Amino acid sequence: MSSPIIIGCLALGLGVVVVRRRSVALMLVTAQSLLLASVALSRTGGHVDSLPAAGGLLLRLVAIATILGIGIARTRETQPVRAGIEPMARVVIALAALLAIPSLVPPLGFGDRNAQHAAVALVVLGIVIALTRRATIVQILGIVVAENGATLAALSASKAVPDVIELGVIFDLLLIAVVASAFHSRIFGHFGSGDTAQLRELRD
Amino acid sequence: MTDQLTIPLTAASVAVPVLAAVVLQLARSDRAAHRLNRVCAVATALVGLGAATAILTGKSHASSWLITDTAAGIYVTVATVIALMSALLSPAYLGGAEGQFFAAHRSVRSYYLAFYGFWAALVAIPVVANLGVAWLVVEATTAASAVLVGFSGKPRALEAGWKYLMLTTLGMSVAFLGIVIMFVASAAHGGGIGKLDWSALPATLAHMPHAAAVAAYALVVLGLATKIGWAPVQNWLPDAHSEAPAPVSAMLSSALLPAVMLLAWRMRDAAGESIGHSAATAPLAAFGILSVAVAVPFLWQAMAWKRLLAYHSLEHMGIITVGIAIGGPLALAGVVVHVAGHALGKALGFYAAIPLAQIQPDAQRHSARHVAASSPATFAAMALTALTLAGLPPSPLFFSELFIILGGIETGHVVLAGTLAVLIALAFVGLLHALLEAVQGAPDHGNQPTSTTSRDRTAPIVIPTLVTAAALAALTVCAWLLPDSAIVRDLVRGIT
Repeated sequence: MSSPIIIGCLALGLGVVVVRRRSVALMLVTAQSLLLASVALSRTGGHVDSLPAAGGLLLRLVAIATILGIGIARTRETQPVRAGIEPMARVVIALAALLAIPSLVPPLGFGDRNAQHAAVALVVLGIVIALTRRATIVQILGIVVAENGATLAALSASKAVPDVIELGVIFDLLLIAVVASAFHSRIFGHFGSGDTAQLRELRD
Repeated sequence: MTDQLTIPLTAASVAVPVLAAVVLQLARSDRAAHRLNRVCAVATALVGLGAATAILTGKSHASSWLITDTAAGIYVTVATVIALMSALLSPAYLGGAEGQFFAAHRSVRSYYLAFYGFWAALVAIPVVANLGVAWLVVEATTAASAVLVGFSGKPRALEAGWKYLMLTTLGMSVAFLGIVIMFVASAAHGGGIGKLDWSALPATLAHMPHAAAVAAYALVVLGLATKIGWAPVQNWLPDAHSEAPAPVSAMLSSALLPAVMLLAWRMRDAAGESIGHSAATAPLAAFGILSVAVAVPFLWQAMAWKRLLAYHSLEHMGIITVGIAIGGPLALAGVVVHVAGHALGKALGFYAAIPLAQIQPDAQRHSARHVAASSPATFAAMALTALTLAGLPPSPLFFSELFIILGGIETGHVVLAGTLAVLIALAFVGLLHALLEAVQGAPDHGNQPTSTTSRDRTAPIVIPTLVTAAALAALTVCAWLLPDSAIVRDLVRGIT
């Protein structure tokens, strides 16, 4: 996998850690998914067998962008949801995780070592996004970034991941996005904001 | 029953709940939906139990899609029985609760749609023959059960459902990375989805570089840990189990957690050859003992009944995991008895929360008190649950815990078994304390049982209590026969 694609995916993921607005975060993740879908499409080489998975990735990014875009449009925040951790601190946490964790992972049998690092890094970034951001929509995007990491790993294989798994993953992620979006709108309806900091009743 | 029937019946046990979910959407009113639910539940359970009987009495078999071995038979039985009881008690729950997650006019039908979807996925997890497909099914359980957790639409339920959805999905992303690593590595040896079949997985892992195999195994087990709710990644568990509708809490605790644990068990057996049995077992032992240790302090606190049961889920999943880690005929017999006994006892406890919420509305947030006087039937169910889960003889859990501890000593895991014994004793005292509160504690101000605490409100719990008591007694008798049985011999041979 080419370095610009890998760097692009990581930069877009890192962007989600920093940006304040949900809509900008959604655009960054959509662009990241588009990069991965373009890699999948370029790898089909005109073979019909590989088209379902590549088409599925395209369908996934369109569907998730639509579902979450509608969610954002229907739940206008009066002001961006604060993350609780300042942007610079979030960047430091993300960069520390990105530098430390992928380098600790042993060779995993990927032909492309950069792709391996990037895949692990994206999964780590997804977790960092979900744990350090408070906006429900951005937490959902954290899951998408983490799944993009696994997709990147799958795309680095010499053989494509079987369609049944690839399409199943796409369907599952869509299902999760729909359910999470429903939760987002209920939370917004109840609290007037999609800020998870308001969900603090359950403590022991 | 012939072996030829096993695969079609097993496939039907997954397909029929999906069909039931669709059929229930045709109901024209809530009352019609409840009536149809009873028919669908019994029909679905008959197919499921038929499949389980065929699996347990036939030869183990693994096709491209389905695995019908002893472990699958046990887990299909447990999931089907619990789902049946939950389905039959759902009208009682829905009659006293208002679901605000869905539009009011579709709330009951939406509940049943998610419920039967969840049922189908629960039965599918043990019989799916491929790790990749199993991952998909586990994700499907998250989608279906998360909306059920948030069904009431109350802030606490939304919080619990959101946490559950986010944490388990993130965990499963980590597991998926592990699966992709296995697949990428298998590409050099032909690749294909078959490389992730449980029967092929030992060879797939053996062909991988050692470090890659270890990393892939660790990622999959860590991901599954978030879904099982093993400590220290259990944060969602007490919230989701305590805030979900009671019939759903029963399915989450009694069927979902053990079913996902079966995947971790199959993974352990698949990885034993390539990364070493001790290395593959160590994470299970660590997660298991840590889960029991983390649960104990919470079991000593006065807290709402369902939340207390949720922490008991953490404890009992830990005990079962330690039993799997120990292995050997005695410990694995203990695992089988514990999975079944915990499922029955815990489910009854959650069902008791339905009348409890009606006679003591405050008990949803605070510890139940003085239940014996205000509702003997509800108290009987709670007492049976508490004594069963505490492992007081003749509870089958007394024997299962004894088997696991003795199995540990027999196989040389003396420290592990000893630590488990101490922690179980501490948990025992905590649960008895809760039971005494329920008997003797003075009712809180404003939480007095009302005059409407009548027989009709507690009636739904009487039959489940009697059925569960009979089933637990039968299980206690069976427990003695298990260590030398064919069931345990099959499990000892490995489940991949």
